Amino acid sequence: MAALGPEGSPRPGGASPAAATGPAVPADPWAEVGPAALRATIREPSVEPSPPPVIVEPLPSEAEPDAAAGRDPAALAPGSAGSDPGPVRLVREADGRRTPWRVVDLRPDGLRAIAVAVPPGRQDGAEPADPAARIEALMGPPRREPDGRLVREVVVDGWRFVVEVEPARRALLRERARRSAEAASHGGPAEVRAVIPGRVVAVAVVEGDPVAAGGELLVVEAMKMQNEVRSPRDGVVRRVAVGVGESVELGDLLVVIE
Amino acid sequence: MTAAHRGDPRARTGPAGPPPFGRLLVANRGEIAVRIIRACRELGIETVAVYSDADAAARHVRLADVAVRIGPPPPTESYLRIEAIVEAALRTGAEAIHPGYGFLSERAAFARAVEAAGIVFVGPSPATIEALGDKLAARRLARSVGVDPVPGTLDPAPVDRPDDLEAILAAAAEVGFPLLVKAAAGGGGRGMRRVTAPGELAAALAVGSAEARAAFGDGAVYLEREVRPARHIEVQLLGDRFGTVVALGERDCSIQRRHQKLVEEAPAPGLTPEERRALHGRAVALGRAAGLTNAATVEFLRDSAGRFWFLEVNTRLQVEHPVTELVSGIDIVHEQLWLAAGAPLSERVVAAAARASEPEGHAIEVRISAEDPGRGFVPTPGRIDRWRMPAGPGVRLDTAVDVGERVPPEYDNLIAKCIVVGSDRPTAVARLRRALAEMEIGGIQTTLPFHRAVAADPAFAAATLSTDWVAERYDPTADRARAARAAAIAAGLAALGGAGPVGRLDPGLETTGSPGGRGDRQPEPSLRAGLGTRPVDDPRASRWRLAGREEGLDRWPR
Repeated sequence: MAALGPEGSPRPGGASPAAATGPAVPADPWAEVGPAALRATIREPSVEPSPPPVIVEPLPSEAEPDAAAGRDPAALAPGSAGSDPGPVRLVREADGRRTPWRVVDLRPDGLRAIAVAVPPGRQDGAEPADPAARIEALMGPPRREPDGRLVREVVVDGWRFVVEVEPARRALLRERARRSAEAASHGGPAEVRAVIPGRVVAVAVVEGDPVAAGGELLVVEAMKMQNEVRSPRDGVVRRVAVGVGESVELGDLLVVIE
Repeated sequence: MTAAHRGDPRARTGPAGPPPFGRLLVANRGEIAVRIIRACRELGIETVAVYSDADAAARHVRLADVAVRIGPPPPTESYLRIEAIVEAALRTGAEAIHPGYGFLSERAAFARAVEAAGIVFVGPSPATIEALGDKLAARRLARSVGVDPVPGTLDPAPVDRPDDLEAILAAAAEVGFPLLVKAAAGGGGRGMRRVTAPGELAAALAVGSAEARAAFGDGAVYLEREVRPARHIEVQLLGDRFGTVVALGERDCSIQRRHQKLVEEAPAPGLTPEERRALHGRAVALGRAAGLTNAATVEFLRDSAGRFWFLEVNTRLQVEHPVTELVSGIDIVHEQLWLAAGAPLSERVVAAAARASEPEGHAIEVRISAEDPGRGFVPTPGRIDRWRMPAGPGVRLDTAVDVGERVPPEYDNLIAKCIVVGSDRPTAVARLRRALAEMEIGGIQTTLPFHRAVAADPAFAAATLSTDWVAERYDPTADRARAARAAAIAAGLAALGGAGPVGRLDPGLETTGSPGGRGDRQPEPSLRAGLGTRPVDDPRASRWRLAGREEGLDRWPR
């Protein structure tokens, strides 16, 4: 990823004072986001550490590399000569990287996108040599959650992700609210959800049972494999939301530990 | 009531003549049921499908001429019900039953029940299935015809007499550590325990035996040396009722995970014609000794010194049979059907077997499964909402699923086999890379990234194969993290919308920055998504909506 063209290089007339960050990242790299910025987050079906989110926002017009280079923008769209190339966007990542990107190709069904990082000073339309600077993504149809988040499946190189996109400022506000709520009720209930779809074949606890962290709660079976669901922490079972024989989908509530 | 009544069983008829059977029941589901139905259709045989409630709309049911429901989704209540399947065959007038692989395919009791009902079982005789299904008996049989089994014991270990440990400990010391405790009736790794030191042996015998008794109703276990590093190489056999057994060639299935094969190829790379002849000869000797008819596969391990050790015999069609078909030019299922009807091995098969030690061409199969290689290959049943399979020269795709369909959690998670063939191995590997790059699957995570990693691996390209390949060479962490970053960027770019092609992706999010702002009151975007800033009469807009319907996006669940 060190080869990613414009990585870490401050853009001329960068968007914000934080634009020139290198590896020394401020505590909250998202602190300064523009009003049009969107945050894209991978929604992981399990408790393992999730990949970091990215923020995408329009480039300030003076930083448009096309304008700076005085080139025909269409030249940036390989294979779609004459069509309108997408505008350049600034992508900010959790490690402080700031990279301009644009969508250069799109299948007619709208469900496949090719995007490339735009290296400064190289507006010749060549495909980037670094594979990390080119993305080919299969896009599922977007759907909007009741809270306004846009959720869609994105498949890259056979890996399937569910990605949530929402205004970055709103995401920040919500997270602050959640953090303060958690701090207020430290040790509040923990929800245990299904990480594989399948059938509940055993339930080891009933409401009121004390459980230790790592203690078995229930077993979900799918395709001859059994997933033993364990308690994320010490506590008391407040609710058992499923029974033996029931089918569960990914993300369904199984047990609440208090 | 065999098909022998159709005339002299030695006289095989051509495409113009009568088929080997009038009607055949396929006692299986998924891609292998589809594969068998296709062969039957090609030979002019009517087909009967059986299905559980989970498969009422499955492809094998839609393809068959007749379909019979045999029970609810759990296999023990449907595809494993011998009497229900035999009854379905009698009721529909099927003259033969093909068991496919898995389920009842290696149950001698099933083959016996089929024959008792006057129906032809497409496979070896019940006696052969029984004799070879007991791995200890198979090891003894191999030894008796001069084929070396993997070093180990030939009789059941005394698990019920813990006081009598001395003899088995002495045997274990002779086998050498680490060794494996294996179930005589076993399969799929059940009842298997790895033992690294003598002190662990007693416990491993007890646990392995209990597991084997629970899984197979037979607690007999034995000891076998763990051959590592090893290649898994197996020989495809065909046999007729006149005592002729031939080898159609061998396959290398070394790329496995926990004894589950993931990638298979034919021929096994790096063998000399002499080695092939010797290996095929051993498999044929064993098949002949077992009175083999129809199709079976003899599995061997090849150690680092190049020695072959007999592992076991599978008395059925294998998942990976297509690689042998593509290299030998023989349709193994067609041959199974003719052989089951009493025909002798054809001249074509005998000629292909004669060429098998110097094969031309190379085929590779990868098993695309509903599993997540990023999370330890956990099962990922669910609905497939994107499904684009590769095609073009040298590509064969065996599957039973389609876009909009659910992969049910009750059954095996194999959803497609992608098989490529080329004039030599480098051509086949390049073709595999190309084919996997064309494959698009959405809705569920599959093993596609794993197979792309195999196809791109220099060690695989150099034919450095080992049963330890996955453990030693596969770590998806970095690849998946890179893909996650790319997915987040792509989704963000698409959602930002704007002029140009991006505008076609999404309606764009309102970004006033105020929580609960206008963005929340936008009309439901799912139908408008993709139209973006385009007027409704734009042809591109209508094409998108049409494509959505064609791909089943608004068709399922009904």
